[in-house]
Order: sequence, then structure tokens, then C-alpha cells
Amino acid sequence: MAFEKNLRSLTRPLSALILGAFVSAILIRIVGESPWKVAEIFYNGAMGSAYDLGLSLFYTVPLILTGLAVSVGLRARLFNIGVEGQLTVAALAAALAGIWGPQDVILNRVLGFAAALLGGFLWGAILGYLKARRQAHEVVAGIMLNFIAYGITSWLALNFFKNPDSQNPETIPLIDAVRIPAWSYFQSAPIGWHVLLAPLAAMLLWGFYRWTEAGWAMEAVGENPKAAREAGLSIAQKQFWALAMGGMIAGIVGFIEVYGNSGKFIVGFSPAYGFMGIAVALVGRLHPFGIILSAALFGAIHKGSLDLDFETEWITRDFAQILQAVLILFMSCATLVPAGIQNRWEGLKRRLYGQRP
Amino acid sequence: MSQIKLRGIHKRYGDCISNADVNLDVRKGTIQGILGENGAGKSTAMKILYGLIEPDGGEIWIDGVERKLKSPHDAKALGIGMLHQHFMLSEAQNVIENIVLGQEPTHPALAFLPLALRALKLGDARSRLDMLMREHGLPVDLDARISDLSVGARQRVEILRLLYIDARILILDEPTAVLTPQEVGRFFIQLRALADQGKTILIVTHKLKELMAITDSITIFRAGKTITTVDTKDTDADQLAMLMIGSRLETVKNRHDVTRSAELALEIEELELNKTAPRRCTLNLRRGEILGIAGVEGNGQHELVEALRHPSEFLKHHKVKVLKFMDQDVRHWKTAQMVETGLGCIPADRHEEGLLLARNAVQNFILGHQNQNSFRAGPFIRWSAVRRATEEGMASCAVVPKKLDLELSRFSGGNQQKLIFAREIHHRPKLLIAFHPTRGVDIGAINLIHKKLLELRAEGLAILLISSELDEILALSDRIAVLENFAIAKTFDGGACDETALGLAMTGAQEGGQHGL
Repeated sequence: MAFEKNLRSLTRPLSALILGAFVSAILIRIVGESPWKVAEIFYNGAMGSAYDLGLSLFYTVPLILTGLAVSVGLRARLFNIGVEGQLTVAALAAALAGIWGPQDVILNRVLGFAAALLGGFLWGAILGYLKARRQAHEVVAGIMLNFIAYGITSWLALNFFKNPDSQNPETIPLIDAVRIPAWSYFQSAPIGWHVLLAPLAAMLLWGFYRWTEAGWAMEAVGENPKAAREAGLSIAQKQFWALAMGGMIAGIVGFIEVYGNSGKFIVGFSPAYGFMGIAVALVGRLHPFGIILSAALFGAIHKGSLDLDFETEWITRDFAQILQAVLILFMSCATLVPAGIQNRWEGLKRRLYGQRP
Repeated sequence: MSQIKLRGIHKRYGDCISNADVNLDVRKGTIQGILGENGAGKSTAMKILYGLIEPDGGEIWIDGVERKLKSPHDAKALGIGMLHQHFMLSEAQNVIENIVLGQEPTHPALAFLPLALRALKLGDARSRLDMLMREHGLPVDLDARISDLSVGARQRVEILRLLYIDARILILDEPTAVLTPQEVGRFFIQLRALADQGKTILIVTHKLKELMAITDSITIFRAGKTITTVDTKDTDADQLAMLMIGSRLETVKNRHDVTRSAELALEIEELELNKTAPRRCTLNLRRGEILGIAGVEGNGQHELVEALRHPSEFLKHHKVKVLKFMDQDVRHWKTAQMVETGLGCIPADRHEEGLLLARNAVQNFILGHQNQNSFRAGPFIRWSAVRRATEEGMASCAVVPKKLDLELSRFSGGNQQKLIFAREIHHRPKLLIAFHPTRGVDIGAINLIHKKLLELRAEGLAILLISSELDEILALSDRIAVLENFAIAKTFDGGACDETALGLAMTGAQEGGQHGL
């Protein structure tokens, strides 16, 4: 029963994907490329080789985490749009901890991880405080905090910790020893054990909502704040924690970026992971495991469309972004079939199969 | 000839049959009652007639022509209007704007503009509404804001709106649920006048007394079918109740044969319920006693519950001399503390304040009792214990269907209420606030709740029964206090009091009685 239900919930995003692909094919025709060829490049780009697969995974992992972060907010009926800022602050925190911390490998990593969690938590907590105690709207406050996070981290990174040997806007690198080594299977793609943090976070979150009072209460507050208040739950407190916890989860992205990928804080390293997390969370229906699947899809689409730019004549980077957006648009629709047609379809099914007992 | 004729209407949702075989005949210019327990299918049938739901089969005849109603738009075109249980008015706009909403009259000179850009031309609408108001005796201030109107006036606005679009058939879904007794009387006079002018009125309710008072004939629904239609003058409330539930019903009554303990469960002295009110509220409640709070809605009932439920929050803005619960000063207590000490509460609005409708019965059973030791193991919830408790609770209060994993919205209103009741008494509270405990609930559930209340009181539970149903208060209370203008205007002994005396005290007609308890 439950399995069948879960399977059913997959049909919608999948059929959305097919419809989206169909519309994309029309667009591709219009610019004068062959949809089949593009599909092939797309497929190869996403998972044609172990390296490509690794890069798809590379985009997937942060999306899982940002999707989870957004979902924690949404379950409490809060739109956490500040994830981008939270992961930026966390990345700088991780980099600084890595640079300053003890150069012992394990200690350094632990400290970096803790700093990332703390940085994300802090930035989420500010948002949570503004929402819960100062009645700021979390969307407005979240956007503003994103700007502030971007500004402050850039200023700090470039004025105080800038790498003098580099032309790029980045901090001094960590020592190589503390960086997490990549697995050889994915060739040079930066995939190591750190990617396991994402599914681990999903699993913990799943258990959190399933078994703990705090998780149950956060959802109750989101579903019916009035009833939650009558039940003696503090709405403000739960809202604060939903945003702060989201920030903490987003913070892991910062750790992964610094320790698993670049080894330093690069200004603007995130290709809007935080914002894509919103779509990931919604397509994944806020379920931790659904989010893993939807993040995988988004990650593959992102990687696949990047390659189109190099491999085709007419499909530019911008056009690849259009294709990516079309696919996401279709997937974010709650209903694909207009209600009228659906009703008729249901009626037809009833007539064909007869009334169920 | 019947103006409305339904034949063999059926509708099912998945495995749940909502209408099995509905047949209905309504003559023009009459008031017909639609009676049935919650879940008997009367709302579905009415929604089908209003085009909100498409039936799986059956025929709908209006004025002798068979019709297919695909949307409320079709129904409106045939002159069918529906008054919903919950008002559909925009609070921030005034009366006339609400009434013309959907067919805004605009200046003909501006007809070339898109509708949204045209200036409203309310003159014609105003004169037409003036006429309608005079004709039907429905006075409303057309320029008043909806948010400033009383519930009764809002209802008149809704009816005017139906008349304004020339509705000839009015479907009223539980129209009196939100009205005070006085407003009900007035409302019925208006309804009769409408019928006399040729409007056909269908009134859906499960209040037998009201049906007997207002209708010409009554159709009874049971288990998705129309059982029979009877002429009101040939029947009585007992017979209707029997037809409705299919068996005879014994009414529950407090026999005043239990001696109350001397132990006070609740002590309130000079509680300020409203800053502008001249007097403050004083009352006390012993263990093993039911104190009925009668009064017109809006005289401090909500504030009283608020003060008991969330003392620390409420008393931030209100004064009090003494507030004691089980002999402890609770002025700075939070909700959770009150609950842990033994305060149960059946909230006035179960959907808004009492339930998580999208969750199952188990998830709802823990709501408010999440800190109970038996339900917890450190930060974790012991769901197995909660499940067991839910099972027990559902059994003891006869909640059906007895499916623990069913989403709460799929239970009927009566069963939702029984589940809340089971939840609130499961942990053996010391004081139970029963705020409209049987509002919008079918007779079977009312009886069960009443019986349980009396049983629990015999076991020593103190019950604060706040209700707008005077019958309920009179039948159950050991003492009755009348709440008027945020203070206790008068108190009666439960056995020695009748509806008239209560009614007078409620409207403040008898001043100078004993104040407080």
C-alpha cells in the first residue's frame, strides 16, 4: 500500500519531465538543432562517464542539503528564502576555521564542520529571531539577509583574507592535507566521503520528524498554528527553530564546498543553490527522501545543460538555461492535467472498470 | 407541481458513498427542511443542487425541465442560490460592495474599458437593494463595513445578495448555527416572509426544534438516502429524531443527585475580561460540579476561556485579583503547565483550534498532551503508547470509523468532536472546559457527550460548560451563571431555573440580581 502510494507520487514528476522534454524539443527545433542529438549530449553530459556522473553528483549534493533546509521551513509554513545567505556565511566560517584552526587533520576538519554548522545556524537564527520575535516577514528578511551575507563575506574575504597569489576573489587556501580526498572512481570529479553527509542529513531529518516531539511540534505549528497554540506549543519558538535549523543544514553546503571542493572560500561560489533548493524541496514534496530524488534530477539537469553550450553550435549557455527552466517549470506544477479533462478521464475509467466494491 | 425534483441522485468518493439514492420534491413558495445526522448526505445533495458537485447519476428537474448543473454558475442562472454555513463575505469591504461582487454595475460610458478599470456605479444597485430590503424586511446599513456588523446582520447581507441576483430557490446550510436565540426568531420571520412572496427555501439543519418552528415539510436523510418526507404539522420532534437516527432516543438529564465536593477546582475573583467593561467576573467551581455559563455570544465567553487556557498571556493585558486552579495560584502559568495540572478543553471551533485536519487520529490524539510522561521517552514520542491511547479513546467514545490512520478531515463532524472529547478526558483532567461541546454535532454524538459529561462529574471532574444551547445548559448544569457584558450577571441553581428566566438574564433585562457567585 505505502509502497504503491510512493510509486504513484513519482509518476507526476516523471510525466512532468516528459512533457517538459517535449516542449524543450520544440524549442530546440526552433533554434535549428536536432532534439535527438541534444538529448544524447544531455544524457552524456549528465551521466555519460564516471566523471560526468561525478559532476552531476557534485551539483546534487548541495541541492539535497538546500532542499532539506527549505523543507524544514516549509513544514512549519515558513518560506526560508535565506538559505543562500546561510550557506555563504557557513562557507566563510568553515574556511576561516580551516585556515586558523589546528593543522591536525581530524581536528581541523571537525572544527571546520562545526564552524560551518554554527555559521549557517547563526544566519538562520537571525532570520528566525526577526520572524518569531520581531514579526518581520521571513521572505523580506530572508532576501535582505542574503544581500548582507553576500556583502559581508565578500568584504571580509577580500579585505582581510584575500589570497595574494591569486587574481580571483578568494581567500587563502587550506593546507592540502585537511582537504577531503576525492574517490578515484569518479576520476577528477570532487566526490569524496563528504557527499555522504547529504543523505545522512536527510535520514536524520526523516527520523526527527517521525520520532521526536520537537519535529512533530514544528509540523503541527505549520499545519494549524491556532490549534498548536491551544495545545500549549510556542509558535514563536518553533518558528525560530525551523529557520535556525534550516540554516544549520544549509551550513553543511559551506563545509562541503570548502573542504570537499575548492579548499577555500570563493566569492560567489554558489550557482544559486539556495534558490534552487526551493524548487527541489517542492518537487520532493518536502519529504527527505523525495528531496534526494528531486535533487538528483535537478543536479543531472544542471550538469547536462552545461555541456550543451560546448557541444552544439546554436545552443548557448543562455539557451541551456532556458531549457533547464522549462523542465523545472513543468515539474513545479502541482497538476499537469486540467481538472475538466481529469474528471472525464476518471469517469471513463469508472465506466471501463466498473464501480469498485 | 414541484419546482425542484431530484430523482435517484447518487454520488460516491472512492469507497465512501455519500449519496446512495436521493429523491426530493419541493413545491414553490414553501420552506422545506432537510434533516439528517452528520454524514447522512444532506450537504452533498445540496451541493449537487447548487452545482458545486457533479453527481455520478440521477436526474435534476427544475421547473419541470431536466437540467445538468455543472457549476454554481449554471445553478445561479436557474435562480438557485446558496447560503453557506460559513459566511463568504469580504470583511474589509462594505455591504453594498459585497453584494454586487461578481456583477459589478459600471457606468455605460466606460464599457470599452476592461472591467477592472471601470468605475463602479452603485446608484441603481442601491435603489434596487433599498427596495428589496423594504419588500422583504431585511434592514442593513448598505455603507457599513462587514467587519463592523453583527452575525445576524451579516446573514441578512448574504440573503440580500441572493435576492439581488434574483435567486428564486434559496438553499440555506445550517443558517442558525451562528445566531443568538433572538436573532433566530427574527431570521425565521424574514424567511417566512420570503416564502410568502414565492421564494422556495431549503433549510439544512439538525436542530429539530427549529425545523418544527419554521418549515412546511421535512425530508429526512439517513445513510445517504432520503427516507421520507413528512408534513411538519403532522409530526413532532420525537418522531423526527426517530426517523433521523432510526431508533428512539433517551435524552440525558442531570438528576442533581450527586453531592458535590467542597474542594474548589477553580477560583476566579475579579477577572477583567474586557478593559472597557464596567464590572469584572467572579466565579468558582467545585470538583464534581457542572457550572453552565449561559449568555449571548460575545459577552466574554472567549475571553474567559482564553484566561483559563493561557493565563500568563492573557493576564499580561488584563487584571485579576485571584486566579486559582486546584488551589494553586496560576496567574503566571503557561498553557502547558495548566494542561499538566489537569486542565482539559474542548475548544469552541474544533477545526481552527482543536485539530490537525490533514493528520490521522493518532497524531491528533497527542495534540495538547505531547508532554504527558506516558507519551514520551526523552525527546522522542512513544507512538506505540499514543496509538494504544487513541485506540482506547476511540473505543470509549464510540468514534467511527475506528481507523487510527484515517485523516481527520475524513471523519464526520460528530466523530471529530468525539475524538477531541476522548482526547481531553483521557488523561483524567481535574477541570474540563466544554466550550460549545456539541456545536454542529449530530444527535447521537450529542447524547454520548452529554452522558459522558455527567458520568465524569460523578467521578469528581469539575466542568465549565459554556454553550449557546440553553437546552444543553439546563439539562446538564448543577449551577448556571449568566455571563453578560463580561461579568456574571446572575446565577441560578440548575434544578430551579427555566429558559425564560435565563433569557431575561442574558439580555440584561433583570438588573440588580446577585452579582458573582
